[in-house]
Amino acid sequence: MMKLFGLFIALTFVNNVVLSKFYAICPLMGLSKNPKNALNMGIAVIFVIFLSSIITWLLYYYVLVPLDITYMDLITFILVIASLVQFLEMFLKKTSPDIYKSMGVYLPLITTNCAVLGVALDNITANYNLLEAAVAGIAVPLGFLIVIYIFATIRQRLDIADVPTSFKGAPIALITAGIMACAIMGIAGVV
Amino acid sequence: MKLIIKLALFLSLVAGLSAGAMSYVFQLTHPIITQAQKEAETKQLNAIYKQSHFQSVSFDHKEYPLIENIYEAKKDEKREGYVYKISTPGYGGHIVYLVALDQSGRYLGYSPIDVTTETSGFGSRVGTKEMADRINKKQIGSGIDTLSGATISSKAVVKGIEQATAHYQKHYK
Amino acid sequence: MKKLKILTNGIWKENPIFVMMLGMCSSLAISTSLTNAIGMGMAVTVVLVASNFIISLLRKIIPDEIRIPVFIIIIATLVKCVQLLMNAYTPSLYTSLGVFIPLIVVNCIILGRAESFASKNHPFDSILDGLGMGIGYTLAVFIIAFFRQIIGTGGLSFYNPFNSTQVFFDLHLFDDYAISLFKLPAGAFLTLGCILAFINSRKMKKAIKVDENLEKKGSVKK
Repeated sequence: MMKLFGLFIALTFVNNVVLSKFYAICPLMGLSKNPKNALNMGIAVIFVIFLSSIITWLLYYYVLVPLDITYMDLITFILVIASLVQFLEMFLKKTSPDIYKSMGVYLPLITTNCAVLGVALDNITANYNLLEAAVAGIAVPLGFLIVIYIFATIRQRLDIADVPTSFKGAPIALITAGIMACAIMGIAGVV
Repeated sequence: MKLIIKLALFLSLVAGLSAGAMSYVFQLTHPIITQAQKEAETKQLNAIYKQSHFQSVSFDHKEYPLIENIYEAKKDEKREGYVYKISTPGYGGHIVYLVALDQSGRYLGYSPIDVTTETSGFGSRVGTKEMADRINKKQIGSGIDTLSGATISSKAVVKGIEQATAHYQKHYK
Repeated sequence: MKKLKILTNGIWKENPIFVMMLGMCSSLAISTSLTNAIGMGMAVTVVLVASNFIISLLRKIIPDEIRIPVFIIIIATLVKCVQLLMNAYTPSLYTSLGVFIPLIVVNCIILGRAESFASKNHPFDSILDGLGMGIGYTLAVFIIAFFRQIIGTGGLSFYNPFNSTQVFFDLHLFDDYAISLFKLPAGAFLTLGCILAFINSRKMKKAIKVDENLEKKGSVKK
């Protein structure tokens, strides 16, 4: 239990997906200007990563390994993710149109979010068991949610701040991310 | 309905073709990859004991879960030492390394194989000379200091060495 | 002339990283050394050219409704093949690039070019576009890696990606004054931020010059 908790903290903060593993930078730079949207995106990503992390793990160890076709991992994983996203979209559209309305735009983008495929692949390379893969499936996107939300609030403030003109926009956002990465390194020393 | 069947057929055709292409490349590269891995391993073993002959030794994996492999190094029928391949859970995944327990009663040739799962700049330091200096030429059984700032990763490495030591002292001493 | 434009478009005007800000994940992660940068650049270029070529060949057969899944399958297949080949022929590069080779699948550049260029243009043009974009990516990663390696380790080194024992050059310039922060993730963000700011400032200077020229011309006409 303690080990799983340690893994959770490690994956959420220290090995943060965005700031130390560089997954999911595109959505971070692209659409995190509005904190509310960032929050919605983060929640959608938690859904997808949690489910895909479990499904891909099961598929890998119960289908690909017994059949000895582990070289099909990449194509299996990406198809699982793409259909999961599609499924989630249809499901939300039917059951709760309100949530669909607020999240709808971001859903297709999740397929090309490196974090989703990254977690699925990391679960295999790190030799996680199913429980650990499930923990990773929550911890990693939670780290993403935290970073993307904080980042969005900072960027809102940056918009009204007096930044040197050549740094406006993407450059200052990257520098902000760099400073946040420094802050996260501080936690690495504690754990 | 007809459209859906047509689309599904097309999609499965593409998937089938791609599976064929992948299996072809896999057949092509698989022998090279396993060969290269084997060569890399003997190369690493040879870096510890030059011109030695190596032979895998069987052991109880349940009792020593961190030990992946044990090699006996022999030179002209004379036993030089034992090289342990250890895979120990570190920070983000498994750290894999070789360490030799020499007949002279010292640790020798600590060489990391895979530290990619550790946080770069912190835990990854167990893959550098800094860690090797703390292990090499130390008396077998004496404590090994961990690296501050890379505590979890270096503790994991030490744990693996402790297990190797336990095995060595029980069977070869 | 037009063909040349397609090629150079990706290298500078629509550089995937500096201008379009696509495929940032891998470019930031692997830009720790020149060798990694070149290796990753080559892998991305190969996948881009091949996927652009295949998709533009099939552009008239692929049904519109399922084009994205088909693109993804094609790209995933190519990436897996590249991954297996790199594992076989460039083992040391393969281990140092790690998970970022399979992650080329979700690199926005490749799907983006398939959707916006290859699915609408001739195979030959698509190859040129893929090559240009690939070179643009490689160039960008190379520049980031150059600054990160020289500041982070105090030297520059470049190995043959196919044989890590063959060293092209390995300079140690100011080892004692290296700022290791630049080897870490934080350094990657800072480096790219500063490079983008520099590019912005050049662009602004150019824009001001153009404005001045226009004004001069305007006053002459008056």
